[in-house]
Amino acid sequence: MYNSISISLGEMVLKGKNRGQFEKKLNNQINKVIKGKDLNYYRDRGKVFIDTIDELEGVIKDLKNVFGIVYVTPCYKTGRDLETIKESVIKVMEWKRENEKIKTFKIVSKRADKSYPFMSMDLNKELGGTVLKHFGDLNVDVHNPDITINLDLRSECYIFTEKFKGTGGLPLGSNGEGLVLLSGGIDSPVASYMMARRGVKLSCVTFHAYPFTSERANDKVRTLTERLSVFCGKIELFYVNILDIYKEIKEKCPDDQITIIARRFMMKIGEKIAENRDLDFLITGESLGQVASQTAKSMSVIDSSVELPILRPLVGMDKTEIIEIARNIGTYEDSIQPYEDCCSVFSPKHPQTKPKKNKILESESHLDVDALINDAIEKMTREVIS
Amino acid sequence: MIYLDNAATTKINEKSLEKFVFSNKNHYGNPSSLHSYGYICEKALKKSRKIIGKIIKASSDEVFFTSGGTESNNIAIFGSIKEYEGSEVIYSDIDHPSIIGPVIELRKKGVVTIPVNTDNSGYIDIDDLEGKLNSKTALCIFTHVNSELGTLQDMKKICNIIKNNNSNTRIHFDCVQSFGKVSIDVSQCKVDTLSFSGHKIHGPKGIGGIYARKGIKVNPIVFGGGQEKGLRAGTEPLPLIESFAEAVLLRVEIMDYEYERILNLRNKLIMGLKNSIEDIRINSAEKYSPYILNISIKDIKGEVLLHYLERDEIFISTGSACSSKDGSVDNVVSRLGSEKSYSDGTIRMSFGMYNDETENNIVLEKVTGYVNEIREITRGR
Repeated sequence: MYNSISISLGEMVLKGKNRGQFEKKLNNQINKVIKGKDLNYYRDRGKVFIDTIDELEGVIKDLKNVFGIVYVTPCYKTGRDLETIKESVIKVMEWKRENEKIKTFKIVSKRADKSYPFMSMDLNKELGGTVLKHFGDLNVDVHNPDITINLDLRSECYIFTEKFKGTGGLPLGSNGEGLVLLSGGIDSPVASYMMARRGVKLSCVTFHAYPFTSERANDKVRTLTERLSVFCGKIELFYVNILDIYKEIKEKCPDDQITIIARRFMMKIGEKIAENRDLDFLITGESLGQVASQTAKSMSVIDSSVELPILRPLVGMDKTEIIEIARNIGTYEDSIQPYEDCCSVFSPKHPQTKPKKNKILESESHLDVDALINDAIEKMTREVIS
Repeated sequence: MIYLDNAATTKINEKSLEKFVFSNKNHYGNPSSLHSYGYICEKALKKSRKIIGKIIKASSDEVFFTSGGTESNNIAIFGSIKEYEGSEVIYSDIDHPSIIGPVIELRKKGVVTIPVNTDNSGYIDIDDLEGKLNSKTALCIFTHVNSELGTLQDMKKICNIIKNNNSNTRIHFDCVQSFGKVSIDVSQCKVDTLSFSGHKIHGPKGIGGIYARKGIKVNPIVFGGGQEKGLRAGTEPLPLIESFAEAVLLRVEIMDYEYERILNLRNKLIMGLKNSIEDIRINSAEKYSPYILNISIKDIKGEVLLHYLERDEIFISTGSACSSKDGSVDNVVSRLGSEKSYSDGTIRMSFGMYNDETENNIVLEKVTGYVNEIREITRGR
């Protein structure tokens, strides 16, 4: 029955002069959804439409994952003259009644094109009368109807009865590019999603310590990245082995500083990767107070290791809130697979929770930091996940 | 490649593989079909059953084919309990997940499940067992050779104690790690059911069986076309069965010789490891299967050593491969009683027919080298 999809855009419609840029990014994402499907999208007074019958379900499913879209609505596109609209409303009602028990209804018209000769209220009454007369056994219920038939009047008339919530946010790539420090845990995939939802295009780096950690731990990160790519498109994923760095830290620095110094190394490596690719910031899944390296003091010492901003979208969230999002975006089940990441293998029994920057710098002075970083980056491997 | 994870699964031997291909090409008929080709296949099935029965001194009508050890354990456990409510089942809580899993299910159905005490080597405490047996004991479930430590239980003695207490009590032994490796004679002991598997003895994966003493009734858990005398419905996978039988024939031929050869390999490896590595413990019982060697090395995480060795294509195991992904499983290793600095460093090397002394020497050299390297890193300054 449905022959078109209407796409409602979110807060990007509030953008002023930059709106064109946001729309361009969104168009790219919509193009990816319909690629290879012999479909086109077009605009009709602010909304985006795709006419399709055969591909309707699949396209709707994919559009629901596109950032910047708040609603995806399957609709029946028809002409604007009153008789055609009347016939179409009856057709839609007949179709809906094939599978649903409908006794009451309501008509809601909206005119995006204000030049349309009927006012919305008049149109509702006229069409309501038509339906009542045609079916005989239906009643109008404006408060709690079994079905609401919506009419969206633009250059054509779009009739719909249901709409699906999209992810909202801003179109991917409309807000810069960031490098996520992605572990196999619950938090960093959620942080990735939240930043991507604000329009950030993502690349990811994961740190491992093979053979101290398992190759399966990398597999887990790959799987998580694949899940993220459903929303975030193509993602460049870097694997960095930092076993040699851990060895040096373990040998030359106090045990309780291992975690914090290792984190500083990760940031520095991240910064270098980001600089080489002109990325704008680093992203982590840190949440204040969750573990030793995520206290305010630790974060401050970690921040001072790099010049690039470190964005922490989860910093004020509780674990339960983070888990809820992880479940919704489908990363939770993979995140809880029991493979150790490099942080846990080398974590000391009593890591510092209030590190002093000068003491950390003193410890780092015993290490050839640049050489270690360069070596790790040289041996880094890369994979494009889509 | 040096494969020392034969307790998890083994490489199929050439003859079994050839038989599998042959059977797929020539015996693809259904043994239940009435036509003469079905009859040819039925004869091949009977022949295989006979071969497999013979190695444990059972008659062919006491052998039933299943998909493997886990299914056999499930059939033996669920199929031996007549009434759930009020029945008691005795088991050992260091058993394989394919026993613990069904036992947990029995508990949910109202069966009283009673674990018998074991010592640090995994031996069943006979006095404790005797104390727990009574007229309500419907089933006792034990493992002949423990898959992690290699501990060998005295099946005959345990069966006598149980049957002397209550001749109606069913006895099931999981013989997956002992079948074809250690001598089993069902005619000499009072075991009612035992389970075995093809892929632990260089046979194909996906085939195993259950021995059920003649005259006892085991209820099926899968229903259908009545194959395997109704105990395990489903068309018999003849190519797997014939291939399995071929592996058993090979075991009959080489079992005693292999036992001595593997024992020798194991002893040499133990001696070498003890001489070259400080603070190493051999986790072995007094009576054991030589096919499994379990050791603990101080200050070494078993998984880290495993990953170091895999880079040289040497494959060992930490816990049992069936459970090592699940850190929550209370396996026998976690009960060794040693301090954490040792128990974290527990590894299992399990031997098969393709391991030899040359490999032993390489393993010894590599393990020694990596233990030193890992200790240097983890012990730090």
